[in-house]
Amino acid sequence: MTSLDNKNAFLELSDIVKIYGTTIANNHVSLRINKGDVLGLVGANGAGKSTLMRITSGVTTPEEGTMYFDGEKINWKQFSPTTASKKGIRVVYQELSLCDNLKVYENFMVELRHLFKGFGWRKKAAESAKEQLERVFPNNGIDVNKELSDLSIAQQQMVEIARAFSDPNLKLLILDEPTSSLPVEQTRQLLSYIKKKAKEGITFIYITHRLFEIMEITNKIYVLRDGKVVHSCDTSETNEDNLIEIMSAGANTVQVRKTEKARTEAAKINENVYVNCNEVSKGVLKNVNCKMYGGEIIGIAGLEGNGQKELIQAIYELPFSLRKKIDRKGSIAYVTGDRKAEGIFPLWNIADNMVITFLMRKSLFAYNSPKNVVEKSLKWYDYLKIKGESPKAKIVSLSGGNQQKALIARAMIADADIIILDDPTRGVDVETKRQLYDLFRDAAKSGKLIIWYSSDDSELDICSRVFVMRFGTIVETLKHEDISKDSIIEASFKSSDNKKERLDNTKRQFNLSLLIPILAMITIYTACGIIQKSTFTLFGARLLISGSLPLILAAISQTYIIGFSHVNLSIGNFMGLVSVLAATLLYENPALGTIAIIGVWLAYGLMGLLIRRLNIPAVIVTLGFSFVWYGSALVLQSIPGGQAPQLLIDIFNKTIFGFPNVLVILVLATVSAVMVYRSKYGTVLRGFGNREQSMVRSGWNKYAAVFNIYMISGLFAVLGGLSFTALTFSADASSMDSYTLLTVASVVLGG
Amino acid sequence: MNKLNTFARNNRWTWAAIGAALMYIVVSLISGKLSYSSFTANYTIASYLTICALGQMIVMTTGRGAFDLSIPNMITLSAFLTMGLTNGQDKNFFPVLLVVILVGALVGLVNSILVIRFKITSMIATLAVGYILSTATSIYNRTFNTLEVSIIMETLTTKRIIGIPIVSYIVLIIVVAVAFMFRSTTYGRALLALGQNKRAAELAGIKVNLVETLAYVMGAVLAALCGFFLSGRVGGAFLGMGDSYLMDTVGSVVIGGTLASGGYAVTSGTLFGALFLSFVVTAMQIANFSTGMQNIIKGVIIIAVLAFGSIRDNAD
Repeated sequence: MTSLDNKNAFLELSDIVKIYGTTIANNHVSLRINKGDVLGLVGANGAGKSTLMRITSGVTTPEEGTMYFDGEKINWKQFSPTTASKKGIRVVYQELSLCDNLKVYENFMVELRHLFKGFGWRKKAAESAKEQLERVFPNNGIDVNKELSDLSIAQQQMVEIARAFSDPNLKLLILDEPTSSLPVEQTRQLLSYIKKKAKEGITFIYITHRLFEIMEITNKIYVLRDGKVVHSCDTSETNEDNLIEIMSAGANTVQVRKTEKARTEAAKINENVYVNCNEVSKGVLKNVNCKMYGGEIIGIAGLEGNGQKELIQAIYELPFSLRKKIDRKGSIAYVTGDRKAEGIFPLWNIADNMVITFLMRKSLFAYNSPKNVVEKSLKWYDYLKIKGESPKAKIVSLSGGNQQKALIARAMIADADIIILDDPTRGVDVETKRQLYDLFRDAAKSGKLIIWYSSDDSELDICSRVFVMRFGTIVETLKHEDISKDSIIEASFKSSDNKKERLDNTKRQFNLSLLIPILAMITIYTACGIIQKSTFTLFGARLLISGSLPLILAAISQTYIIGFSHVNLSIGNFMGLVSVLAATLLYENPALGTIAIIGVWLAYGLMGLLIRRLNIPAVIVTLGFSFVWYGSALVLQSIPGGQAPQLLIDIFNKTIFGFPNVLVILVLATVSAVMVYRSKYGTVLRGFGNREQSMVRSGWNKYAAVFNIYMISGLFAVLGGLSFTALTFSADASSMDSYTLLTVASVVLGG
Repeated sequence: MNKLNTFARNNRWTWAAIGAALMYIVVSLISGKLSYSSFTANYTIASYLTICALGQMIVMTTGRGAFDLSIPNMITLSAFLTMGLTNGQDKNFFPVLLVVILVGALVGLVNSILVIRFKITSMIATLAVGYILSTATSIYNRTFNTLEVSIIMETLTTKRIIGIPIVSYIVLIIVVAVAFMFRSTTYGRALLALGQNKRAAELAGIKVNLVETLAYVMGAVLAALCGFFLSGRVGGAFLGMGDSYLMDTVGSVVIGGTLASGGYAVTSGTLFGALFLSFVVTAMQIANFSTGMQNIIKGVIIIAVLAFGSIRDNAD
């Protein structure tokens, strides 16, 4: 039931609180939007915009607060991305969520399966995808029949946006930096399409750092700062300068900072350590010029995604193409803030994690006594007051902030001259932050060069200089006395927009890889025909196919597994078992034989489920199963022999309307394999092989997917085993051993 | 029991060792006598397996599902080279050993180039290399026909000290060396770090490509050494002689407590795993199990060990 208060509000969030560790990402945020509004959400890095949107779209559940949507109170417990999209809430994420291995229109289908039913769904989906793309981005030139990986990033972004619009149930669309990779023309098209759709009653929340876009399309603006709404107004009441002022103002923090700042003395330059970038351009980086020396703390700032990370990584990695552009002197170490993804070694204890970089300074086969390792780490363990059981406790037992200290200790123990800090204070509590600032200062004082990228502009005021980046280049250098959160934010937004003008062409053209195996096959066939004329007769063809039918079926079976990013090393032995079952049990007792074959088929499906469930490499599990299949076959039939059931022989050896049955079966099997592959669910399964998470987000079940794919693969393998018995009139447990490796090879050759 | 559990968590070879000991008792029970010779016989078999299993372990430790499927073919090729080049002459023993090691190193290098430079999944890359090796062996097979084993080789593989052939002592030395490498050398630490997280290893200042390359090289060299000695034990070389080692190397490694996902190697566990597998096979043979049954049991054991390990690790 809606209260009188939010009668007109289409979306109302009240008092939303979300806490991550020690950071309050959303601190009692309230927000109201009416139907057809375009709301602009602005704020500096880490202001809490993304968290708020994750809550609205069901990805994250808040600790406190309520949400009303379309007159209905949201029950947080049942609110997920799937239920959100059922209610008409969709999000275009900054990081793409499409499957690269699927075609453009197939990506439309997996999200909107209910739209395209029955036969000809491909055509319908392709038409609708094309129409939708054309509606949002006229003259886009995207071929909807292309695989996504063949499109440029900008085109992929366009597909992602158009897909969200194509949901007929769409009521609220959240766009998180949708134009960050779009060229000017397409940005304009998107903006005018949003305006049009808003008039039709669709509601938008638009997040961007590009204030001119906000000014152009929104009618309402909320400004977030440190997790709170600090300002809300109609767009007509404000302007860009005003917004920047609101985002950067914050008198209370400045007060505290002043005292901190005073403690940083002027840097004493150590000329033996330096980094010198001269016209560095690579990827997003464009003509970066800068010089930094030992004794300095250099801050790298700017709005997220403007090349800061790329710059520090280039300095660390010195990629081949930049060897001449970046001049570096002094040993270097990298401290990441993304501790889990690229920092800690989770199986190790704290001491081992702390000394690894130091050890790497020695020759690869140098001796390190484990005792020294602990001693070496002890000094820094105590100095940084790492709160753990002991240096020998596992690193994962530490809190995030303490893990971060250990990572910084790693660089300090290695005594690197240049230390690169990649947002090291992310998710770290205030006390630890203070401690780290002191440490950075001391390190600089001792002549080291600290290069510090931070997503929190307010902490950079201890730097000796700050480089502010925008669109891949340094747009402003702030000197120590000018550094403040305000000045950094001002510089980040100020610069002119020099977006790339034209849409990139597609990355690569049609690839020939599919043609090569087919050509090779035709060549070999022709060669055989020239040597032996009868190859071209129906009889000759039949002989050829009879020989290769089981292998072709095996290859089809393996294709499904490899398409799922698994490999089945048991396929040959599995087919051997089926073949033996056919020549023994099925011959003696057709009913029992049929049950047994269905039984092993099910076991094959369960094997897939086991792999997914236990999360162990498919290679090892299937290798283990190959012994089970082979052993079972040997138990049934220890020496080659047996007898093929007459029915089976007839099926595979007779002719129908003058065509040999094997040929018919081959064609049927191939056609049905292709049909399964191209069917709706088959497409979904391929999507799973590429990006499980986004398929689950679209509402598909991952366990069902893996079981089904193994059952489909198993079906072809069973057929292959049966055909072998029928064509050779007997069976042999080990006759198909070589098929395993042959199928892997042929699938890889066939791309 | 709790103490044992804690101990086993910190020393992951424990279960494999207990398993091997239990199987020794089982073998003794079936055959009706507790004999030293049944231990030495199985240890001898296991020591050949251990050499190449250590290679598999090193490759698997590089992580991200790395595997060396070319090990069986490397073993066979190396056995052929050893027989063909030595030709029963003692003076050829050491030069041939050098050749075999160099060929192994070359094969490992090719594997690593395919994996690192061409970014081919290690399984598929090593499979392809395995094919090439087996073709090369078949061609080489036609050029000679000798069953003569040099005297040095014969001594190494048959002369026993306290019931154990000299070659098995050599294997023990290799085990200790590999364990030392992982425990106390910079390279060992680098490899373990790489296997846990390649990106983190790179950022920690590790030359990841060099470390990974060396792992493949060591894997192939150890397989080559296995083939070298195996030719002495068998007294010849035949096509497919290394085939059974594929499954057994993987089995020994995972039973020994090494993580299939990489980043954690248990060298002594691999030795115990190999010993365990040898005892299992012996027990089944004495109990007169059919070959089929033996295969089923071996497969089930490996799957069960994997499942058990995965559940245990997830519970930690």
